[in-house]
Amino acid sequence: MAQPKAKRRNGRAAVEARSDPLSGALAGARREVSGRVRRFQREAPLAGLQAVGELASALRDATGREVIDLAAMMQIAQFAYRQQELAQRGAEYEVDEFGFDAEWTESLLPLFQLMYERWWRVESSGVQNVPASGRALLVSNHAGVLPWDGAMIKTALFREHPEPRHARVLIAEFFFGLPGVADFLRRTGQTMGHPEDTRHLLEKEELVLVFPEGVKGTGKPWTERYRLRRFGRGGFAQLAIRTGSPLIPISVVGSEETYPMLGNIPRLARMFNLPYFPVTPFFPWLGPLGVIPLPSRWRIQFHEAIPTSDLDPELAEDQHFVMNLSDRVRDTIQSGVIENLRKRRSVFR
Amino acid sequence: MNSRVLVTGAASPLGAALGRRLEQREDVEAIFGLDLVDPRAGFERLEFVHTDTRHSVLVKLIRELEIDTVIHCATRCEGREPPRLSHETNVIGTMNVLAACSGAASPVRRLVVKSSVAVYGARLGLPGLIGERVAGRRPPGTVLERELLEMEQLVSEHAARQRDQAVVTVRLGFRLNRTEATAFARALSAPVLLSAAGFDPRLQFLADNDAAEGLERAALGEAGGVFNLSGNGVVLLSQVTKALRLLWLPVLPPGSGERVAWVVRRLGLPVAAHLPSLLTYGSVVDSRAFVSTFGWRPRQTSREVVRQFAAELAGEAGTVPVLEPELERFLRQRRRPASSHTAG
Repeated sequence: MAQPKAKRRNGRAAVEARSDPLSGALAGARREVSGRVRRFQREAPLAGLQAVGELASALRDATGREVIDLAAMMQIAQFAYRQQELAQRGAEYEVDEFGFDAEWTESLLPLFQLMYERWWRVESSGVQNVPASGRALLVSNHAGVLPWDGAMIKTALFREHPEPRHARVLIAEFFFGLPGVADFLRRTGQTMGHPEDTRHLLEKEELVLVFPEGVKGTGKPWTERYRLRRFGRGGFAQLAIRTGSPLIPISVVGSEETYPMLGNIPRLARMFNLPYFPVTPFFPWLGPLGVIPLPSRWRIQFHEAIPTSDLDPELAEDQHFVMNLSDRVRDTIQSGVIENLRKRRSVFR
Repeated sequence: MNSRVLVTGAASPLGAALGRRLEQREDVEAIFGLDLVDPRAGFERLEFVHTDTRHSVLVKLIRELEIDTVIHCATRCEGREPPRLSHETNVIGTMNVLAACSGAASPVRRLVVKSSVAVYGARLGLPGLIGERVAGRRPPGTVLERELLEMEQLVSEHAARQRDQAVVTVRLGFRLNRTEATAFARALSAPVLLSAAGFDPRLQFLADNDAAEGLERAALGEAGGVFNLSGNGVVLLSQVTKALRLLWLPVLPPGSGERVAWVVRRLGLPVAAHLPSLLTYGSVVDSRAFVSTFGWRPRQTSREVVRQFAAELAGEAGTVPVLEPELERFLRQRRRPASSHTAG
C-alpha cells in the first residue's frame, strides 16, 4: 500500500526537478527525508528487539535472574512480522469450503504456543496416538468458561506431533451467530457441529475434534469440576462408525481452573443471549481484566485410538451399540482426567 | 437417441444461451423455445414461439411437436419482481408446465427444472456445506425461499406420479449477470455495499456459461433427482469487495432479514429481500452429486467468476454489449435470408 504512494511522490518530484532547480532541490531533500523515514520504519523493529535484548541481559546481570523472557519476545515479534506479511496478500488467498485459512491460522500459533508453554505449562502425552495422516475423530472433555481447551489441543497437535496437523473443531451453532466470533472460528478451521459437515470433513481425511458435552461442560459450576456431563445422544460415535474413523479420547486437566465458575446469572445470560453468564472471582468484578485466565497447570493426554474401520456401518443405526461405544469413550476420558489430576502436584504446579 | 427439446423462458439470457448450446448438438433433432418477450439475439435452429406457459397452449405444443425433453427455465430466482408476480411465474407457471407434461399419452420422457440455491436461504443452523436434502427442513425465511420450495414441491410430486419420466431439478448457484440483473450482480454493481457488522461470509458463484452447460448436461443426461450446481471453491465477501473495489460498509445488525433489506432499498441501494441474510451467514453448497452423476464439473471457480465480473465492471474485458431491441430485430431480419442462403 505504501510503495505505490511513495513511487507516485517520487514521480512528481522528478517532474518538478525538471521544471525548476530550487523546487527540484527541495523535492530532493524531501525525498531524502522520506527515504530516511522508510529506512527507519524498516529497521525500527529490529533495533527495538536488539534494545530489548540488551536490556534483558543487563537486567539479568543486575538481578541474577531472568526478568524479560527473550524467547517470548521473539515469538511475539514473529507473530507481528507474520501478520504484516499476511496483510500483503490482499484479497489473493484461498480458503476452503468451510472458510479455513491455514496460513492465517498458523500465523497465530506463536501466541498460542506462548500460552501453551509459559502460561499453562502444558504437559501432553500420547500425541503419537493421533494418526499422521487420514481421518480421525478426537473426543475431549470440555471445561472452562471460554474454550481454551480446544485451542490448547490444537496447539498440542501442531507443536508435539511429528507431522503437525490442524484439527477442525465442531462448535455449537450459537457461536456462529456472534459477530466477529463467527469469522474467527471459520477462519481458524472450525465448523458447526452438524452431522453433514462432520461427515464431509472426515471424508476429506481431516482431524475432527468434538466436545460432546458442549456448553453443558464449559458452563458447569466450580463444585462440579472434572465431572463429565452426559455425552449427548452419541452422535459422534454414530459418525465414527459410519465413516470408519478411529475415535481418540482426550483427557484435559487444568482447563477447569482457568475461570473458576462460582455462579451463573441466568437473567443476564438471557439478556445478552448467552448460554450462561459466568461469575468467577474476577469476573465481572474486574471487567476486561477478569477475562485473563488463571495460570493453572495443564495436562493433556491423548488416549489410544479405538478403531472403528472394521465395524459394520449398519451398526450406526443400533442405538444400543452406539451408546455403548459412546460410554466407553466417556469412561476412558473420565478415568484419564482422574489419573492426570493425581499426577499433578497442585492446581498451579 | 435424438431428442426434441422445448425450452421455456428462451428469451432470458440463460435460456437463450442454453438454446444456442443445444443448437450445436447433433443429437438434438429439433429445438423449440418459448417466452413472452422476443429474444435479444437470433437463433439458428431454435423455433421461437411467442407465448407464456399457459396450459392450453403448452399441451398442444408438446403433443403436436412430440417434445420428449422439456427444460423449464422460465422460473424467477432473483427476487426482483414483486411477490405476486413471481408467484405467478414460479408456482403457477411451473404447475402449468408440469400439467402439460403429465398424462399417460405424454411424449415427454425428461424434464429439467431450473431452481436456485436461494431455496436454502441463509441462516444460522444451516450446515457449512449445504447438501441437497437440507431444503425445507426449517420454515422459509423469505418470500423467494417459500416460492422456490413450493415450486420444487410441485416438481417432486410430479416426479413421484410420473414414474416413466426422469425429472431433474437443478439448483443453480448465484450468478453475477448484469443483463439478467441477478440479485448479486445488482447489489455488487452499486458503489456501496451494506452488510451485517462482524460477518465476512463465504460465498459461491456460478459462471453463466457453466449454468447453461450444466442445464444442457442435465437435459441430455440419464439420471433424475435434485442437484446443487455451483462454482468450485469459495470467496469471502471481503475478497469480493476488494476485487470489485467497492466501498464495503459492514454496519447492519446481524441476521438482518427482509425488513432491513427494505430499509436499505429506501437508501437507494439495490438489495433483494433475500440478500441481507446471505451477506451475513453466507451460502456454500455441495455440488458433488451433480459432478458424479453427470460426469462434469463447472469450468470456472467462484473466484474466477468474481474476477470476470470485476473486469466487466471496469469495462476492460470484452463484454457482450447489450444491443437495443430494435437493432436486434433489424439484425435478425438481415441474418435470416443470409443463413437460409448458405443452408440451401
